Formats: sequence, structure tokens, C-alpha cells
Amino acid sequence: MASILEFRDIHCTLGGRKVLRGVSLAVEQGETVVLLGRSGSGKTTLLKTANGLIHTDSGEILFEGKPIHSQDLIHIRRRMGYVIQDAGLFPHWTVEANIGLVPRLDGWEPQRIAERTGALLKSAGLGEEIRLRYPRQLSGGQKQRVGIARALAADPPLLLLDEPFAALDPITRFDLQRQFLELRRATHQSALFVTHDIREALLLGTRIALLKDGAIDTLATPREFLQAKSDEARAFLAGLEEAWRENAS
Amino acid sequence: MPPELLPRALEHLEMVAITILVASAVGIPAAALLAHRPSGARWALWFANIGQTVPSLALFGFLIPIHYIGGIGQHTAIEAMCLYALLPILRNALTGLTGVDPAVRESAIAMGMTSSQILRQVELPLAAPSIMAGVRIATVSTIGTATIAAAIGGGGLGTFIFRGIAMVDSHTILAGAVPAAILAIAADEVLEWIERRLAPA
Repeated sequence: MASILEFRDIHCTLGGRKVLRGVSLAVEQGETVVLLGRSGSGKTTLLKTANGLIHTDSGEILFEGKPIHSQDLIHIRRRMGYVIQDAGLFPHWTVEANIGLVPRLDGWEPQRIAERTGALLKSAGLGEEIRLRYPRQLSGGQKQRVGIARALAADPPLLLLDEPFAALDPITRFDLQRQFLELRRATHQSALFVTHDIREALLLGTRIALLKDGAIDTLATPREFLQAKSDEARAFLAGLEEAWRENAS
Repeated sequence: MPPELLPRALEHLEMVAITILVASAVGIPAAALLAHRPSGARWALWFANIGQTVPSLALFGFLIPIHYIGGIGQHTAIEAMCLYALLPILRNALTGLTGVDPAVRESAIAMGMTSSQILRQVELPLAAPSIMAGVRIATVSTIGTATIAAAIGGGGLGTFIFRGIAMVDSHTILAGAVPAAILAIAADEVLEWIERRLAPA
């Protein structure tokens, strides 16, 4: 069976700087591939080439086995849920209108959208009373839950997430991370997940792709990653325990 | 109070209304077209700025001898006032449209909205208060400028002002100036109320 998403030898230049230098990577059905890396490693750029927000110089991107550039990008994007750091909710729309966006674009019946919204609110751990609120009336954690619900609304085969939990407090973040894990276990949702947080990568990834200077440095399962030998992987792993050890000594 | 005050005031308002409608019909779509073309937007603002610097009385004068568009009367005045009203409307609409949070725009694209859906459902509603502010500023200043229309036979409340100047009669001047000021203040209040209603909830 074809991968949900496949990058083949992607090169990309942004503002004169070579950001991606030949990245090849596949996301299989039901897995979460985490793109881990420092700022400027190219992880967000790679994510944004998947739905055509950023154009590549060369290489090929296949979604469900077909090159994305041979298809209508508008329709491809509606089949890829997209979640970003501060959720990117539409401030002039209620929670309900935000969540129902893609179903509405796809022409669902209002009744079906309302039911779907109710189901999503419930599974996101949000109460019905939130339906008619505006984004500015929500906490950071609630916004992000709504952002994920919006991305899942039309049941997309793939989720793209760009540091979705980075701006949350640690407790809310852990809560959302666990919920994300549950989502994968319950629905076998496929996802490509960008983070700079090694803990998050180890917790959420079925595989971790560590990017360095626009190329994949290490590609491994979390278990294998703990034993990875590359300098960059060691540098990330060192950050895991060093902090309190340094302080305690 | 001169008996023809009401017809003159209505004439005044009519000129202002036509001016603002035309300037909005040109300025707001132009801003939508230019919002994602920074160099085009710069040129358009430059052009509108230049239009603004020509003294209004001189502009009326320049237009009079031009065939078809010029001549004595209301239409010449309206053409000149449109040029003045264009700048605040264009500039505010551009500010509003380019001020939409990039993260919101990016989300809209990534969710699979088309450019026209983004413009109609996201950018225009979010820019609405700013667009309305431009329309308000243009309306208030046009109410003032329209008093000069009487100089080229445009009518309106300026008729009393010019008549009063000619007769050196300040009562007649006030009969034009006070209603014009009241109109301006009233228009400002009403449009500001609409502007607040348009602010995203």
C-alpha cells in the first residue's frame, strides 16, 4: 500500500538560503512522524511544502500515492488538517463556525456539520457551551483544542502540525499531548508533527526524523533514537537530563 | 433662516453621498486588488497623495475647461471631490487588508479556501472597521469640501457662504457654515456607530 505522504529528494531555497537539501521521507498510514530540529533546520519548511504553502526547487511530493502538483491544491489542502502554534483561528467566527469551515467548503448539509461539530467538541474535551464563543474568549489550551478539532472536521487522511503545543503551559501541554496520543490509538490518524522539543518527539512520534541544516540527520523510532550516535541526536538527548543534573551538582 | 435652507442642505448631502459612493466603489476594490501587491499599493497611494495635495479650489478651476468631464456645475465638483475622498478610503482599506494576522491568512490558505473565499470571508470582514473608518474620514472632510462646490455652480450649503461673502453679511455665511458643521458632526457620529458595530466580536 502507498504511503499517505512521501517526500522524494526535496530541495528548497527561501530568500537565497538553501533550506532543504535533498530530503526523502515517507509517512505511513496510522503513524506520527515527528520532524525534530533546531530553529532553522528546515523542519517547518518541509511541513509547508506538503500542502504547497512553500514551493520546492526540485523533488516530488506524493499524497496518497499521487504527486500533489498534478492535482488541485485547494482540494488536497482540504484533505490535510493543518494546526499551527497559536491555532490560527478566525477571530471573527465562533468556535462552531471555525470548526465547521472545511465541511462547509466541501458543501456538507448544515445538520451534518452541526452533528460533526458536537462530536468533535466532545472528543476534544470541550463543553457544548463553548460553541458560540469567539476565539478571544478562550484560553490558550481551549484555542488549541478548537484548532485541532477544526483540522479534524472533515476527517482528513493526514494531519500537519507545526509546533501546536509550544505556546502552552506545561500542564496543559501534557494534557493535549496525551489527547493526541489517544487520537492516534483510537482512529489511526496519520500525522506529520513539527517540534523542537525532544520530550514531545519521544512521547508522540512513531518515528522521529531529526533534521540538521536541511537534511535528515537521523530517522529512528523513539526507542532507537535514545541510542542514536550522531552528534546532533546526542545534543538533543543531552538536553533531556543534563539540566537538573547540572543544577544539582 | 433662509427659506431655501432645506433644499440646499439636501443638495449638499446628495453631492457628498454620490462622491463617497463613487470613491468607495473605486477605492475598496482597488485596495483588495493591491493588498497583496506591495509595489502596486505604493504607486496607488503615491497617486492618491498627489491628488490630495492640489488645493481644492484650484482643482475645480482646472476641471472647468476640460470637455465632457468639466464645465460649470455639480458633476465637476463631484469629480474633484472623488479624487479627495479616494485617498483616505484607499489608504484605510489597504491598512485593514494588509493588517490581517498572517497566521490567520496562512490557516485560511492551508484549510483549502480559494483566494476569493479568503477575501470575502476572512480579509474583508476583518478589515471592515478600518475600511469604515476611511469612509467616515472621507465623508466628514467631503462635507466640508462640498461647500466650495458653490464656487463653480455646484450648489449646496456653500451657496450661502459665497453669497454672504459677496454681500459681506456674516449671518448669511453662518446660514451655510453652521448647517455644514452640524451635518459633518452628525455624519461622524452615525458612521462611527456603524464602525463599532463592524468590529469583530
